[in-house]
Amino acid sequence: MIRVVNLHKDFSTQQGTHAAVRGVDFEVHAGEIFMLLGPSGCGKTTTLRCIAGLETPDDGEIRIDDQMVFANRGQTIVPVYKRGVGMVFQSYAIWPHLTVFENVAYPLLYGINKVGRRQVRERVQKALTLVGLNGFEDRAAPLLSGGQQQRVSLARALVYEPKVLLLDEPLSNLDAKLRAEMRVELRALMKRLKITAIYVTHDQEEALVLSDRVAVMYAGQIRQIGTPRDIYVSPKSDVVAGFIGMANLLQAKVERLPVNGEDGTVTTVLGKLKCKLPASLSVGETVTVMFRPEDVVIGDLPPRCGDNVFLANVEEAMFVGSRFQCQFSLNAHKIQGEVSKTQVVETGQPVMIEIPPHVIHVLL
Amino acid sequence: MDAIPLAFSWLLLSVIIALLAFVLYMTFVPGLPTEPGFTLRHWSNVASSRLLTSVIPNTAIVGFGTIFIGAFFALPLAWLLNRTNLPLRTIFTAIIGIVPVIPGFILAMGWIMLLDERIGLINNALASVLGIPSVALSVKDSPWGIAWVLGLILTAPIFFLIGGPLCRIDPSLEEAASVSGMKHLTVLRRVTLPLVWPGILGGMIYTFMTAVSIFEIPALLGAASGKVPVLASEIFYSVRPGGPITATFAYGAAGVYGTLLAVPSLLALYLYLRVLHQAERYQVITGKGYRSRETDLGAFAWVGVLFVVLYLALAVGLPIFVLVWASLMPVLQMPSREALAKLSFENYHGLLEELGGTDVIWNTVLVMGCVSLLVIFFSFMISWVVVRTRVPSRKTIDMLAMLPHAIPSLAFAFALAMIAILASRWLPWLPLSGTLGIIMIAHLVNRVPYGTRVMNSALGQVHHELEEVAQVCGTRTPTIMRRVVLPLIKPSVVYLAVWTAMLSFQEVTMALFLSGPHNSVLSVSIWGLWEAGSLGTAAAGAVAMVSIMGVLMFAVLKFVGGSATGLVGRGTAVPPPSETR
Repeated sequence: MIRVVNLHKDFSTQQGTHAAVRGVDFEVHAGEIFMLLGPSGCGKTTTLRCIAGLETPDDGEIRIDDQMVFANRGQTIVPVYKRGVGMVFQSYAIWPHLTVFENVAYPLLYGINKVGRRQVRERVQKALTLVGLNGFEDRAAPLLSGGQQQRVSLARALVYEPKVLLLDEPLSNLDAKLRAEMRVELRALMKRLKITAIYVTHDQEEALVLSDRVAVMYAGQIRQIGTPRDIYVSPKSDVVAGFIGMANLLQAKVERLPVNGEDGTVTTVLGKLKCKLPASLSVGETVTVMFRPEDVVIGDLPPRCGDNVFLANVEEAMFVGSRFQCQFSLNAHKIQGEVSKTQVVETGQPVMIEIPPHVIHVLL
Repeated sequence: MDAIPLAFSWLLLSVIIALLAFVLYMTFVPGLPTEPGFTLRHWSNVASSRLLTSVIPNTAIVGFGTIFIGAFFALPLAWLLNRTNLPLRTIFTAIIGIVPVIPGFILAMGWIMLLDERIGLINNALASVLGIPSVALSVKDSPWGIAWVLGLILTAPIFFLIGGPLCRIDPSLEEAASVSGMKHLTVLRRVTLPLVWPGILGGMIYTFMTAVSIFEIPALLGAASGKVPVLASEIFYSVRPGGPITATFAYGAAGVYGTLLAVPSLLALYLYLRVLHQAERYQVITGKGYRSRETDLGAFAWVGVLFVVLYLALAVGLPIFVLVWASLMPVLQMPSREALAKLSFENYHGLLEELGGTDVIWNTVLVMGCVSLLVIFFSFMISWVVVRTRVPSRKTIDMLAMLPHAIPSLAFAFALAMIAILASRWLPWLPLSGTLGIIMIAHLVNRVPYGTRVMNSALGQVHHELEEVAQVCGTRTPTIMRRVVLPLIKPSVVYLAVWTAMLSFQEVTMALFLSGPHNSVLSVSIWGLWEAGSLGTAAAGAVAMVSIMGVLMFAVLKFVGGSATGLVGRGTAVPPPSETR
């Protein structure tokens, strides 16, 4: 449905040229919700704006619904208004001088998808129903709440039934509770309409909940593409691991390769760790190992003997409602972990921590 | 997508550049622009004793004297009306906001009737009190007199230029100084003044630029008689002989004077922009909703009120009063019982015919309407390119649009007049020479710097996503401009339209310079009556003009909703160059 090949975009600033997007490739299938996730300044919004046509890329190809909209360094270029995509902006961009109805009707009245007057009313009603804003037609746009503005902006993007919907951090201006509700609602709506969507966000939770596939961007490049679960469970690099969820990352040296289905061993600052190792490694090689805080097992003293068991001190225990987020110190090294709210941990308390071999993931 | 606004921007900017180039070109042509040849004579004449001994010193005295007078009134006024609990502050501020709307040459006429060795009412009053035949004190025939009148007129713009930053100082800065043990006056001197210094400096530079390029006031006060020639009047009388000194056309010389005037103004503009840039470093002075600290004047409040009233009397009250008085008198004389008996509306009878009939009114209305539409159109196009696009040349475009502010309006009028002469020779079908069109072009060029400043800040306030979403919705740039952007910035557009129309109404320098038998506007007619010596009729015309201005002002206040006075006051000053994306 959408295909982006080797996209490049530089911005010239007073300090010189800044490469915002450096060779981005991806393909979005029809009906898929595709997420561009990354920290601010990673080039995700620029990529989205290039697809919409609001930015002109320096190089690369963009294809929407089998139509080439950008190629040959701009020799083939379809202007924004002809691309026929829907877009929801971070600021919602609701025109304050128009009512809700006029805002939603605008594309049908003046855009290239003009329709007859009678049809306008019908389709605006339909779009407003879709987002749950019936009865708000004559409300002046500035008198709406953030969540309602968000819905108007969505209705306006959907009213001309685009095949592709682009969303630029649409939920980032909402409060936490509303945001959580809207995530679920938005996904259900997009799935119902079977619309192809590219969604930009820096909120990893949003990415995991909403998307079919996620592309993690960093410094203008895509680092990994996969389903939310893939990305979370087996990140390919420290950048991806660090951005999606919390992660303990350790430098490790391969000590012993796995034999007969047994685990291999690596040496880290914590000490020796048993874990699954890919066969392609050789002894003495340096790798990064990763494990999630929620996979660290916390036990009482005295420590049980066994592999991957260490004595640590509680440095910090933060109560976040459902659990404690803890930081342990182990050989002067910090390890993130989680303790259930029923367990009582106090700062300075010695504990036993276990990192089961199957939760340790080797990044290549 | 950007092609249309870009094309219109460059259309106007190339006219501006062409006009400037033409001024320079004229300095190397022996006579008329149609005649061939090349000469450096005009430039070597610059060293003439007249220019060095009288014109340039006079211009300097006018420039710096105006700064002095203006600052003398504006600094205390700005403090009194913005930072103290002076009674009637809002009303006073509103009145000062209206001062720039009154045409300067009308106030100058009033001052001549007030302070002139022969006819001045103040002189006569003093003479009769002191029992001497005459008092040798006059605003006429002295550069200081010109500076006095200009200073009074330009006080209002300086007042508003300083007032802004003065209001917006974060009070905690001053409170911190007080807490650390400084006395009130020390705080004012050590903290407040340094903080608003960029604003003050900017105001002074702006005043200088304006003062040296005004023609009509020096002309009334002594340049026309050749006694106090300044650069602006030299240009005028070189091309429109009629003054006593220059009885022949001297186009080349006019070009040289224009260049001489433009160079210091360009320097001043550069300084002004530098100062503004520096002012941005004082980021504490931001538009946040601070409520600045007010000094309690206590028992001294009456001194403050007296000062404000004194200024208003000098700048507006006395000159307007004397004009009203003169318009009701057959011959100007001291108010007395005997004079009161002679009061009549004689001067108002047949005023319309004296001014040139309905044609003049129609011309004036046409100029006002067309100029404001043109200014809005071109300012919008230029600002669109500057603020809304990423065209590489947008910074250059922004700078060029500011250029006419630094070049005296007379230089543009001169270049236009020359081009009109050329056009009448080579392109006789082009209606330029002596038409309203040429006056409109002159006004347009002159008002575009201000127009683009207003539009830049208006467009800058429209979030770019509001426009981008319209593009994504499938509409093209012209539709977006009409349906989305223009409605959003409507208040600024209305304000710009009205303000431009008012300035066109009162403008006399360019209209006079480019006037012919068929394109006379109201201000030019009043000027003509004064020059012809019919003081009473001229005064009646002036009173009529100020009354029309008053009605227009009132309508604007009604329309925009009260807060327009501040806007109008600031309208005379150049707002800072806007930040470009």
